[in-house]
Amino acid sequence: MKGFCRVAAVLALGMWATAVRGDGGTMLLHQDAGPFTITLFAAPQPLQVGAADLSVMVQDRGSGAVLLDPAIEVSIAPEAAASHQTGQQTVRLATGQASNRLLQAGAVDFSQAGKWRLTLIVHRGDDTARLETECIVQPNAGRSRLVWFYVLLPLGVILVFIFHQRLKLSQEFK
Amino acid sequence: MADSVSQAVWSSWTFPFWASAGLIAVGLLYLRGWRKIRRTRPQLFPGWRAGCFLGGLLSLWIAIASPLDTLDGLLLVAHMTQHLILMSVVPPLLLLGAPAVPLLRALPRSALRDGLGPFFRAPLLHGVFRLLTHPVFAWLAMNISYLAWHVPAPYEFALRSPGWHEVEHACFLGTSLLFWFPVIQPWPSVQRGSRWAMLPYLVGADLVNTALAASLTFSPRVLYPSYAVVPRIFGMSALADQEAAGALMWVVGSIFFLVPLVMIATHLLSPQSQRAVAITATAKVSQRTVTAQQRQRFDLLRLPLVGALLRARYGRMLLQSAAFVIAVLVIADGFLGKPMAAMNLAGVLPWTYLRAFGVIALLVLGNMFCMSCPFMLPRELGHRLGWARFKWPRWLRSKWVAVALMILFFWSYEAFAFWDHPARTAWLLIAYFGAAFVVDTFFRGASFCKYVCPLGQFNFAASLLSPFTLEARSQATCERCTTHDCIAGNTQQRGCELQLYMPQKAGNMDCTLCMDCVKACPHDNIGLFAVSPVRDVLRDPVRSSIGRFSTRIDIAALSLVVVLSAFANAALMVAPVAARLTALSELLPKHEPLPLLGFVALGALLALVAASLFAVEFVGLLLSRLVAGKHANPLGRELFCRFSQALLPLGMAMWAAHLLFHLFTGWDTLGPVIHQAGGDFGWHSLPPAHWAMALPLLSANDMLSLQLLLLDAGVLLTLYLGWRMARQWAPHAGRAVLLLLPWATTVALAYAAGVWILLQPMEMRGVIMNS
Repeated sequence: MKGFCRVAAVLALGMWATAVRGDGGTMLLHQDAGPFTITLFAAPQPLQVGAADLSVMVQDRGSGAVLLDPAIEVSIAPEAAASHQTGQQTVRLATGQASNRLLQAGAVDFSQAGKWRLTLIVHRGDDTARLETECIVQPNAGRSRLVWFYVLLPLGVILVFIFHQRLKLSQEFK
Repeated sequence: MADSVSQAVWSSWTFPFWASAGLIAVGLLYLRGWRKIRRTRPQLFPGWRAGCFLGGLLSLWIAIASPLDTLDGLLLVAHMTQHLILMSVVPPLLLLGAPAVPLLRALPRSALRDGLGPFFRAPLLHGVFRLLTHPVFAWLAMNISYLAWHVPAPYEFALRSPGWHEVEHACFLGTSLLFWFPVIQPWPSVQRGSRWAMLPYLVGADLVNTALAASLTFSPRVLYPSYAVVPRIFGMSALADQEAAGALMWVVGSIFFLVPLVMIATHLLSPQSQRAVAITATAKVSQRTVTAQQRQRFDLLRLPLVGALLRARYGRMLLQSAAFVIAVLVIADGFLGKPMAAMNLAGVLPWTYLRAFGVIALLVLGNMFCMSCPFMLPRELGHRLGWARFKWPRWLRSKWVAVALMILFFWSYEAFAFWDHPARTAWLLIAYFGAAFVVDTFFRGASFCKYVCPLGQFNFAASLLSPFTLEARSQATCERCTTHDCIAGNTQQRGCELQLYMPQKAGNMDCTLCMDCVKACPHDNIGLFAVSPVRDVLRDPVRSSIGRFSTRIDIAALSLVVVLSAFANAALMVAPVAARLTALSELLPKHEPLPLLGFVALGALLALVAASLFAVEFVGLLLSRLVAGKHANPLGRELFCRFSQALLPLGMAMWAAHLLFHLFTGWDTLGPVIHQAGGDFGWHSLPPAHWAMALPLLSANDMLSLQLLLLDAGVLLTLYLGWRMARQWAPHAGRAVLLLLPWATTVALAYAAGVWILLQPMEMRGVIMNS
């Protein structure tokens, strides 16, 4: 019973972790580039195979003021497959995609686990900045955790029901 | 620029779907219970209590959906404001609503008595509750949780992990509910110890809060490293942000402790502290004024607008006419429109939309399809011809014809790929109209509905789980009635064509919700009542025009077909099964235009799948019978009939999971299809179809969660029904378990098959998908 409760608790927490859409996610990069200070967030964290949200905040490098109107493009490509471009994607980020309206966001699809290269290009007027970083994408455990949670859920309910029936019987006996 | 940034911040709201739905559900539940209890204890439950509780729910929603939540990773002051709401605003407001009794009163009486009753009476749970709400435990729990989560290491951990961040918030909310419990003392809790103890209780908590707030305010360095590296907004440095957060906790946090402290002290020192006693006395008096009227069940026909529409003389005809027009349009587009199913009303409307809405309506309301049946109009026309002199042959008065037709329909759906050929769908509808017309032209009553229509039989079986049923409001009125208009009819209105005599009608089997009985009853004695969705299957009385379920093998077979077809229909659409079918069809010789041999092979395959599922079920039943032996006394037929019906929740859950997948994936196909059909019919005033599709309504994981949740609910309800039936046959619990176990194993196998099917990639038929 104790073991079951632990497994159920871990699975429930796992479910929570995968279900939550963060307010931009975890910070991957924070760097000055050209006239901008650029911060890149990603969710979920750690990144897993499948869909991921990428969000970017652009600030004026001098004043720190948040800039809402730059055009931002993010490209992703797996490092191992750089030669034949498998899995490469380019996404134009948009303000409406993010819950935090100070950020611009978009969804990308990491097709395989491993090391990926992220390229960020920011345009605003005549100014352009380009940043590159690497990230590790892990195999997707979210779906199997989700399935296990829902498969174990009836077992949990059945255990509560058995407890309920035992209580009822003992109360009737008294 | 500053204005636009502020605007961006203020528009950073999110909509956490499940949390919002949960809060709305709790709010509605509370209001239902509050209204009930207010009739007996108006002084104890004035409007402000409901206002406080709903305000608490709203505050909770603001804490998790507002920009406070969006910005909590960037600004410590936003995060601390969120914590303050969770700990000091939400819990007192919820407790001021005295939620325990209203929430319990909102539940059905049987659920309260049989479901929760044993828990409430258990001494162990009483002890746990007393421990949790003991002032010492509650004070320690809240303050330890508060301090522990503000230590930099766990705080940073929560910031990095969304899952643990939720746990942190749940800790704050949960322990604060415990903390405020002795302070508020929500009715009907009993005061433990002296009320004066609340003064040091609150002062102590304020001291802890002050110490933590001061450490944040006066710290010379940033305590939480995350805030030192995230981009700073509003030109506020990380240290200034931390100081602001500390000041907020100190000042506002202290106010939340000190205001109740002052109020309690004033109350204790005032002579009006006896007021509560007076209120309790008044409440006791008004409790005696409970009338039978207030115990009435929920009757849909008593609702102002819906009830009036359902009872209106031409209400049903309006629905049927609308359905008839839609059916005619579907037939017309099937023949005249684009041959591609995804661009044709006949490819999309019946198979993607109507099936899903039909199943949802069955599970949420009742047999709405039969109520608005488009085939009723040709039936009426047939009747008007006056040739209906024959009675339906006695040897066909069962569900066997309909069962055979239903199997034929499911086979032909796959064999003729109706979903992929609009013209064939149109022919199917024409055949249906023709059959309804022919049968009811020559046979009396509603022979087509009662004995032939496979769609209707599917709905009859599924409606056994519907939460509404037509019943007499008062049996005494029925006993006094001499005319029996509900079945015999009168000059104004015909009676029930399906021969369901209201005083002996039990449940929804064979009921088309036509409302003829309601309109015919001269005593206005028939209502559409809310009932438990398991009641119909669980009881086995003698039913008017049906008899006992436990003797009707044909009805059991009908239920089994509904259940097995749910699995077969979904399985044939998943990639591994579809691939094997394709491989099989390539082995067979082709005869154009109809590959007859392939049809037969598909039929044989379907029969094999159904037969193996049936065999598993049968072996389970046989084992149940053998294991129970002489200690339980169900006949084999009774066991088969009733356990087959107990499978209905699992089958309907599978149907719902499957059909909702199609609906939610292709939810916005209808718009362009209507525009396309308009163009095909030459209605050029409609704008041309725009085929760029949006994304599915739910993400892949959310969709899978919903499907698995439905299947979980289905299997649990099926097992519950099985258990209750087993207890009816074997009063001793151990014997009931033995009786149930083999059958429950087959249920578990069916559940596993359902999970496997839902995990496979599914064909999306009749919808143009987003690339």
